[in-house]
Amino acid sequence: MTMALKPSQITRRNFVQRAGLLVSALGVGAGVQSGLMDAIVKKATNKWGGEALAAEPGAVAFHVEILLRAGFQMNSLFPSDGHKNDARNPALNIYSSAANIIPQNITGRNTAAAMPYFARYTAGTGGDALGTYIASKNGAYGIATSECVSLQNGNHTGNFATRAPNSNAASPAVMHAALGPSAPVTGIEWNNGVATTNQRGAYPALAVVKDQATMQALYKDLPMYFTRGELSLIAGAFDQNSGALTKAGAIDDFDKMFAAKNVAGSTDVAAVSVSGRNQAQLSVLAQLQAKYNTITANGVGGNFVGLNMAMGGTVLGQALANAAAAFSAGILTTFTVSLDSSDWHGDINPLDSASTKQGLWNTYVGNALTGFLKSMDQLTSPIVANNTLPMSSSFLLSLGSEFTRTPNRNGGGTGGDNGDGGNNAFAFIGSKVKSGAYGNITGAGGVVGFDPNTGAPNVGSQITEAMVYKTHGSLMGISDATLNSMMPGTTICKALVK
Amino acid sequence: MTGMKALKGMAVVASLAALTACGQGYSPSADEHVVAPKGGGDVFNGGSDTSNYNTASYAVLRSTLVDVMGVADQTPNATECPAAAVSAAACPKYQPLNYLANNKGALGEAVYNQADPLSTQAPGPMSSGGFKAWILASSSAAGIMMAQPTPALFPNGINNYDYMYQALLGRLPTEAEVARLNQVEADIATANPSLATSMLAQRQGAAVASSVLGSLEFLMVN
Repeated sequence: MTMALKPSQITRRNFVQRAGLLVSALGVGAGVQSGLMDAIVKKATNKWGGEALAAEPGAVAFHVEILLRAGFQMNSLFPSDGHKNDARNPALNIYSSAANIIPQNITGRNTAAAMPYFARYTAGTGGDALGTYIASKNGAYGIATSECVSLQNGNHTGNFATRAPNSNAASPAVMHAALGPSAPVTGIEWNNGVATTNQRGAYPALAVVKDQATMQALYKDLPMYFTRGELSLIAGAFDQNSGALTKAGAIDDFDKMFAAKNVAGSTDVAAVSVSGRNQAQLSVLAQLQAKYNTITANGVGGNFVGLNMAMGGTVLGQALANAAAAFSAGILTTFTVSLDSSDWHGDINPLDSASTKQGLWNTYVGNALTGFLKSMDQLTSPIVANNTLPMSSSFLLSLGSEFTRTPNRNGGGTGGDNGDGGNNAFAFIGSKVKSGAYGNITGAGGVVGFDPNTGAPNVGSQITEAMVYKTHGSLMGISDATLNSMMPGTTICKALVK
Repeated sequence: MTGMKALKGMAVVASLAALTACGQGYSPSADEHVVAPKGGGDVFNGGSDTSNYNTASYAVLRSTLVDVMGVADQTPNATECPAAAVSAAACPKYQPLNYLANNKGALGEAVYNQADPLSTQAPGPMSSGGFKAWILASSSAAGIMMAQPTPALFPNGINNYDYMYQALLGRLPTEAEVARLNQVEADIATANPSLATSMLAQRQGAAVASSVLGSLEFLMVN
């Protein structure tokens, strides 16, 4: 049975849904029903606006997920407070010395939690550069990390439980592509063969690409009869960046003649005409490439140190640069990229070694993330306040894996196995994120949870993968009502949410 | 049965007479319990249905291409329009009608037949996205038209614009408009210095037709 809504709960979405049901129940002919719905939807649009009925109004503009197989050791990038400050047991599964675990007291952080920590393998690069850069933004956006998440099970899987706690849950990227702002292509999965899953739930799948060429092919210009030069003679020539008419075409001259007749509404149609004729000649692909070249210094670096470096077969810097460029061009809102770091059992390495697995991944991921954040700060987008604010004012980026490995190495003594399972981890960077290192791994290898409302460490508090999923949705700006309808009874970690 | 009808009629008359006899006027009014949309605040009381401007409907635009210009979708060139583009109705050069239909929401057509019943689009005037769709569809359709032995809008050759104006705008062109269209043809020739005469004439005719089809007057008077 449909529950009655209080006036404050009525939205365009549910109003039109229920109006449609009532109109159907009238039993009148299809033509009459259609006419009634025309009037109803028109009025509803006047009242609540013309945005897509399915959109979540509070959703962040841009969402990126970095999916790491196969059981990524998240403390290669983001260690816990115990790794820094506790006396270590010999088997503690950390490959940074205390001196090279750098806290960053980020403005506006959750002071009930610890400061976020960043592993430093090479000073001024990788994770170290990332931490310094985020701190320099004085709280414009935050970073929340943790390795204390309880696992549903310790099995390898490409369908991470933090992204799909049950078989019906849409993965966060799929959810954002469906419920976030609209764009010519809402969601892209960049995957060149890594075994990860973007569970769909009730929403459409993401468009899959495997590299820069296949991603840019999504934005190929539509085949049309005239060349661009010919069309500009007819429809006018426009500045590709500002959309301003630079040279009148035949249509402009005819419209000027028509304007002299003072037909009601012609001024408004003329404005629509100019915008539409600009759009007809806009080369979306050229825009994307221009933005990419801006942030990468024509594809050699720019904001991205190690832009073209590949690990696990994926060029992360290039992928994130393409994502930022597409966001800025207003042609994309959601992006996932899958990386394969393989298994880590034998990666028992000296502390602070930049040339071994933990150090290499720290450098690779840290540099790419720093480049991405710099680009998000540098560029604007029509999707965010119509190009008046940086894209970083409305975004979320997450890193996730199926687990983050055992707090202590397995095998007794100093341990000879960087074990599967253990706990899971989260790392969120975004405009709605309240900074902090939440929960803890103690020097003894103990796991400490945190209070989901305050963020304070709490040994007895269990943070589940389902809670991380729902918190992820909240950090994306999805409403509590929508999240609760998807997963009733699961707590959102409000401590992380600004 | 006739007797029953007469009896019923007598009963109605008697009822009315009784009402009148009681001094109560017959004032029909809506039954309070008729099913109707409830709630929604002032949705049904405020706001106007009128928009700032009106543009030709999707049906008129499509009819212009099909009935006036005699255009039908073509088999696309697979290199220019791969199968994915065709199935996504993203090939206006060869299939302008399909492309136009795929964008009719932006042209102001109400769209209700979505998989998600909440994804309705209210009827209204053409948006800028719709204008883009019309420019690409109509110019491509003009190209298809000009490839026909006798292009529908130019029964008397590409230098005579009278029939085109009467068909699209319901009047003859002014001298200023003739001069401007002549300039369009000259500009197309300048842009294609090496094109064979017959092919050039096709592009010139398409450009002239596109200039009128994309004009405010065409979109507002139809």
